Formats: sequence, structure tokens, C-alpha cells
Amino acid sequence: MIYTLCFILFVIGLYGVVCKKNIVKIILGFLIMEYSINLFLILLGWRKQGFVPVVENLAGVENLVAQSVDPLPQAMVLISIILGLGILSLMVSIAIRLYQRYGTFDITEMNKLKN
Amino acid sequence: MIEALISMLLVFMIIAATIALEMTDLLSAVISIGAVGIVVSICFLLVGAPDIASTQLVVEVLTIVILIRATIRHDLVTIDGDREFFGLTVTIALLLVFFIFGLKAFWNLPEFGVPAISEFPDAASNHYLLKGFEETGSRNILAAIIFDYRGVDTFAQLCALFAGIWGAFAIMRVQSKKKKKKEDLYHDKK
Amino acid sequence: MIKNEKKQGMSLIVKNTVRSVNGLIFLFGIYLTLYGHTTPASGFSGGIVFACVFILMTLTFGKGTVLRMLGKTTAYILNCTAALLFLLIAALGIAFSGFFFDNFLEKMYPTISFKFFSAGVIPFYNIVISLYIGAGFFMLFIILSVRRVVDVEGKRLLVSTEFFDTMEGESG
Repeated sequence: MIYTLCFILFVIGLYGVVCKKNIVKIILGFLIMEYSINLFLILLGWRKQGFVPVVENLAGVENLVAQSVDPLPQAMVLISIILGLGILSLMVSIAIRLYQRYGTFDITEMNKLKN
Repeated sequence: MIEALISMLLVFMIIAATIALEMTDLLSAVISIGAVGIVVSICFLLVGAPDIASTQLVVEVLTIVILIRATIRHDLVTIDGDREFFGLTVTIALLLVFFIFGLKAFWNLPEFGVPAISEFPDAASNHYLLKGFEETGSRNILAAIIFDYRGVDTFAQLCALFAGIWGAFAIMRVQSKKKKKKEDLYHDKK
Repeated sequence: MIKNEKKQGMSLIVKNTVRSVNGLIFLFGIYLTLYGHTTPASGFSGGIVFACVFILMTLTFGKGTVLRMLGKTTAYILNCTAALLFLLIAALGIAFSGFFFDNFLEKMYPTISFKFFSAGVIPFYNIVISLYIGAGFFMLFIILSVRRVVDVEGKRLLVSTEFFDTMEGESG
């Protein structure tokens, strides 16, 4: 159920990337896809009544294996979020350059060799 | 309890994402994206990932600032409407087919609330949880994984981030001398 | 070049609030970075908090005030130096115990404790990464938001604006 809702969010982002004409809308579609994938990976590792993977005392290490959430997807997603910000700024800079070249954000008018 | 809460938050995110994509005003669209990102941060907090929640919150603020400062101007002509009708219909039909066949992949997943590490005792995560504190001395298992067990992975991703930052810098450079002369002329006029 | 520096930026209330809050946010970034190995925090979020402090000051006081504190060239040098230091710490593992990304300090001085000084080289990685990310994203913000497209004689040019005008008073 919850995984299906995540997938619906992904498909909405894909719709924005494929069908929209405005470049800023396409960037927003990329952002939505990124959010849904990050959230899906974190939700995969959740355990019922699980707690944060931080050791509290020496006796709690054995307890951690039985009750902690999965730390591996969290470690991957933590860097992926930062990388997403770098990719966003790259896309924004390309969009600004295209605006300077063609004077519009509309991608259907960018196929002509203007100027 | 948490399942119902996360489902409600996901429905809210779907509504906000649809509004963000369908709004003709760009400023409203960017603010709706901010709503989506902050609800993602709340979801991270609910499922036991507070460090990712804080990172996501700060990154979201930076995202909105960059999008507003860099792409939104007053003299912008609003572009509404999608592409032509036939192409749009075919694309939406293909997306529906993709959705229906993609749902098949979700049948094999474990149930929500039962991660794969509880079914496989010799998974990598179990080793990290059990031995991570002894071997690295770090209380936070995430830091142990990022910088010790999977350090090469972190290194590769930071290389990609380096390429992204300097690529954006190279794209935004004002390089040619002819343009620079006109820029001076513009400032003199001003 | 910049004549009326006091007039640019936001209003007086915002300036005074930011002036008093700024140090606390910076302190929070330092806390997130230094305690990355004992509490749920990391150098990644600490670095972005550092970048956010400078971005907040840029939006409030204008471009000139911030670029005098942390110049663009300084940010570039800081970014590249931090990336090289990250590689250097990783390569020291080869010199001391033979593996890339090896936690050699922990192997030489094993510390199973809950103190601040523990976990070998992981705090150093956190500090280096916070510098890298803070300098990099501050640089990106300056590049992306200071230059903008203007119409000059019927042609669009990408120029860097002299005055970092306020959000409501901006005009193309």
C-alpha cells in the first residue's frame, strides 16, 4: 500500500519530466522523482518499533541487531540527497544559459536556430 | 498507527506534487515543491532516520532559495498548456502501462515494517550493527558505514559532486572578451 | 564601486535579527560537524548549515559585506583543499596499515569509549567534508544568483549585477 503510493509519486514526477513544456517544471519533476526514490529506500528498511542506529551503552549492542532499523539505505540516501542538490544547481545553470540564448523557458521553441 | 500516518502524508505529497506541476504561476509551483520536501523530511523523522531528516530539511531550504533567486523573474511570460494533443494522449497511456506493469514488482517486496535484514541473519547490515561499534569505535553506525566500511563509495559520490559544482561554474562563466566589452558599456550607461 | 551600502539589503529589523541569530546558527553547524560520530548528525548537514549562514547574510546585507568576509577565491581554494585533504586522509591508510580508507588511528589507539575523542579518523573526515560542502555550495549560490540575464541593445547578455537588490525591488 505505502510502496504503491511512493510509486504513484514517482509516476507523477515522470509525467512532469515527459509532458511539460516549461524547463522549470521539468526540473520540478526531477525533484519529485528524487524525493520518491529516497523515501522508498528509507521505508524499505523500517522495522516495527525500531529505533535509530546509535549505540546507547555497551550492553545495547546485542539489542541493536534485534531492534534497529536498517542503516545501509540510510547511509546511501544521506549522500544521495547532497548529490541531488549539486545536480539541481547544474540543471538550473543550464536553464539560465538556455534562457540567455533563446529568451524563453519553453522547450518547444528552442529547436530553431535563433540568433 | 505509523502506517496510517505515513499513508496520509504520502497522499498529501501526491496532491502537492500535482499542484506544483499543474500551476501556471512559477512561484506557486516552487513553493508547492517546498511543501513536498518538508513532508518528506517529516516522514524520515517518523521512520527512525533523524540525521537524514535534518539534512533533507536544510537541503530543501537551499533548493527553494536557489530556484527562486535563479529562475524566477518579473518579466517572465507564463507558459501554460502541455504539448500537442496526440502526443500527450500517447504519453499518458504509456505512463499508465508503465505503472500497471511496475506494480508487479511490488508483489515480491517484504511487508512494510519487516525489513530484509530480519529474514537474512548474515546480511551486511547485521554485521555493521553488531561489530560496527567495536571495530570503528563510532557510536553512530551511519558514520561508521559512510566513512569506514563504504568509504570508496562515498569517495566516488563526492567526485560526482565535485564535477557537478565545477561544471555549473564552467557553464555560468562569462568568457568572451567581446561580451565583456559590452558589459562595461552597459555599466557606463547605467 | 558600491556607493550606498547601507541602503542595500533588507530592512533594519531583518538586519538586526540576522546579526544576533547568525552566531548561534554557526555554532549549531559546528556542533553538527564535531559530534558526527556520537550523535545522529554528520558533516554533510553541518556543511550545508555553514553555507546557509553565508547565504542568509548575502540575502540580508548584500553581496559586498559577505564577499569581504569570505571571498570567492577563498571559497574555491577551500573547496579544492578540502577535497584533497579527504583524499590525503584516505591515502594515509595505505601508508600506515595497507588499505585505502583504513581507520588506522583506531587500530593504533583502540578507544571503545563514549567520549568525544574516539572513533579514530572519522571526526577528521567529518570536518573536512563540512568544509568541502560549505564552501562548494556557497560558491554555487554566488554564481547562480548574482549573475542574471539582461537585455542590452536587443541582445541578451549574462552580466553580474553590481547591486544585490532586495527581493521585492528586483527588476530583471
